[in-house]
Amino acid sequence: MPGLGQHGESHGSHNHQIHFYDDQSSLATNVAGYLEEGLRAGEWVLVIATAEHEKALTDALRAAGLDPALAAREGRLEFRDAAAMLAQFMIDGQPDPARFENTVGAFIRELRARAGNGRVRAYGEMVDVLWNAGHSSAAIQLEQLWNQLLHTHPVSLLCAYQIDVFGKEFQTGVLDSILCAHTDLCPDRVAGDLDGAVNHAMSEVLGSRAEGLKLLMKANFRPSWPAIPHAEASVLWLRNNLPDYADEILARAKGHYQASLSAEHVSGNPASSLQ
Amino acid sequence: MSYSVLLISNNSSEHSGLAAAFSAVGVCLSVVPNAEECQAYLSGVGIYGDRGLYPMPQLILLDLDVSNELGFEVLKWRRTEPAFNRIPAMALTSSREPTPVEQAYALGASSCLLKSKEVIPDLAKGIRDYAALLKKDSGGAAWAGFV
Repeated sequence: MPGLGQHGESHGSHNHQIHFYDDQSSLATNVAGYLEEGLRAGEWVLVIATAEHEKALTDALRAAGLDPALAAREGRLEFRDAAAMLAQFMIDGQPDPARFENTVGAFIRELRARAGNGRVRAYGEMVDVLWNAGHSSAAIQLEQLWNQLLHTHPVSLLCAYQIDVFGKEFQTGVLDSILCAHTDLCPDRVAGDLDGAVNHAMSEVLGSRAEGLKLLMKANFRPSWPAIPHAEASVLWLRNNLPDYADEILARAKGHYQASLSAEHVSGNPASSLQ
Repeated sequence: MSYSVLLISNNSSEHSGLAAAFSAVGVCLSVVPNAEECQAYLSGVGIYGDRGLYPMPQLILLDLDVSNELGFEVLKWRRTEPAFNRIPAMALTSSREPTPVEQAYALGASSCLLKSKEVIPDLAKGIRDYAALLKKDSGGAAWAGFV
């Protein structure tokens, strides 16, 4: 039996990950880890981010022992401004497929050609910009355009959305289309125990009934969703199936999670020092 | 028995294992063979008016292994019925075939549970605990699935 959140069908050969974040420092840590992995593996890296995040990511890469300026001079690390890139292909509030192909598509093709080995890794915040501006349908449309591009030009892509996993927005009714557009939900790399926090809160609020619910969560099957870490999948299940308890459970879970982050920070975990 | 689950199934050999598992954990499993009987049961029509014998369920279970169409028919009817569409409906399947599962979700199932002989006792325990929470909270009206 698959664990809760495991997806049941192939999304093809491409790798299109999604990451949810609540605060800027955890975003920098998580995304820098993804970029670092690519750079160290000899991949060519494209970052389409806000100016604020570009600086945070550059600092985090430097803190990880890389030289982002050198990588940029060598062409192995490219930064593009998310708003400026969006402006090149958005028409009447929606991404235009032809313009997307001629801008983002052309740039990905160029990077793959330059890379020689074709190994390109991208991180994109354009969907986050659209989502935060309330243009959720445009964000979903843009995800579909990325997927079409990835089918013909397989690169690794990570998207980020500023959505609090403990918040009301993190629920199936809001996120279903977004989740279905991805292959994996990228877990938080910051050293906190999200799974433990959710389990602890469930036991506090639901008592012995929590164990029974975990059996249902374990058996839950959603083929069109990406592979989702256990903790995030549990939150989605609680929001959808037990809404009258979810607020209390997730408020407590957030407290436990933040306490676990503080404990790691005090113990000098290096991941925390990047912030 | 404190908790009640309504199973839609027209194949007694398929649901006998479920009935035994639910009985073992103190859940009353009522079975109806089709959407019409499901409507009559939930509405308390005819023999189903005796809530001592036919208690209002906290949860509806659909066995996609018995019949996809039967399950879909119940989900379609349920989503048009304000009096009943907040009773959670969960689908059971032993198949990893995505199409019927996704259709069940699209029609308002809150969960699809992968079942096998080995896990049926666990599912029965889980459903008992879920039903207990629904009953304590609001008598089976505590579900946010998009119907």
